[in-house]
Amino acid sequence: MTTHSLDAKGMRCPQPILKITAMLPQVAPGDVLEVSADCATFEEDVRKWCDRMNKTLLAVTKDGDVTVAQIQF
Amino acid sequence: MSENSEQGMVSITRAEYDALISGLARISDREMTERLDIKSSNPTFNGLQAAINALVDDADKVLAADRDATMNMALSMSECFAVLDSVRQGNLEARIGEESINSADELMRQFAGTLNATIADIESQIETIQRQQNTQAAMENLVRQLQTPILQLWDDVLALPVIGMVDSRRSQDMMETLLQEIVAHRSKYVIIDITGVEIVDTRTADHFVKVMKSAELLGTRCVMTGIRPAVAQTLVELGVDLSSIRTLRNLEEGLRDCLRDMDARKGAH
Repeated sequence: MTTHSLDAKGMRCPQPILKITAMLPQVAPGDVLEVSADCATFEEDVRKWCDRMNKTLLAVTKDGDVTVAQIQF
Repeated sequence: MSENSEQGMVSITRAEYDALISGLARISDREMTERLDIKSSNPTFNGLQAAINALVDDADKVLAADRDATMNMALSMSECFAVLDSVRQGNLEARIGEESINSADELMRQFAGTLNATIADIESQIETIQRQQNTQAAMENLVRQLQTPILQLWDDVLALPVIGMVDSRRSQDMMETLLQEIVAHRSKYVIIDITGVEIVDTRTADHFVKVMKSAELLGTRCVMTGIRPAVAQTLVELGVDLSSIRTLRNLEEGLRDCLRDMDARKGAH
């Protein structure tokens, strides 16, 4: 299992979601993608994305304005 | 804030003005999630606050609807992308889900529907091609089997009638099939009848020689029959050496020859 990183800070939703989607070909099933974003609706959006795409949202943590989501593909 | 009736003007205090500017900046920073809540005894100022809050509420509703629409579009695009990626990896059963198919956005509905229809078409075409390939392979197999019919003419006597062109592949098939049949039947005689072969060149003749020599290695006596006059003439002109194999006029003579040899061997024992 590999952990990939995606820095989506400074992007407004839904850009971070689309960036996650663009990672699909690179992230193998079982791998984890760690996404950092500071968009106000990121957590809500990433939850919707995981539901729709059948991916597992392992954790969501906050560090100031930055939200970090760990998604298992 | 106070009102000057004579001049028809209203005024607010410096503190109220600063609080208003600061509040508006906060609303902007927090993406319409905040509202003005500045304590004041000035009814006109409070009316201004209420009007601004109502305006922000309306703007927030419009933005929220816009954000939802954009987000739904992004989710549908994500789904389409995922399905295409899955198809690229060979999963032709992948399809866009109902949420995107029934998207509020007409363009997205059309796109998702077209994408599903296209994938279904590709899947159908591939199935058709696979069926055609299977049919073709079965036919080629059947033709190969028909090209090498092995007949048991007599006890211990097998015949291989050859019709048409003999190339390397057919020659290989003939050799494999004949050797298997010789072993299976423990045959002592093989007649290769080439009455149905109209053209024999050096390479074809070489194929026959190899087939017969392979059969002889298994202890089988081989005879070639049915060499047409034109074929014999060609072989002579080409200088093909068939001296190492026994040749007879036709299948009947071949069978008689085998039976004679069979009797002679029995007599010898």
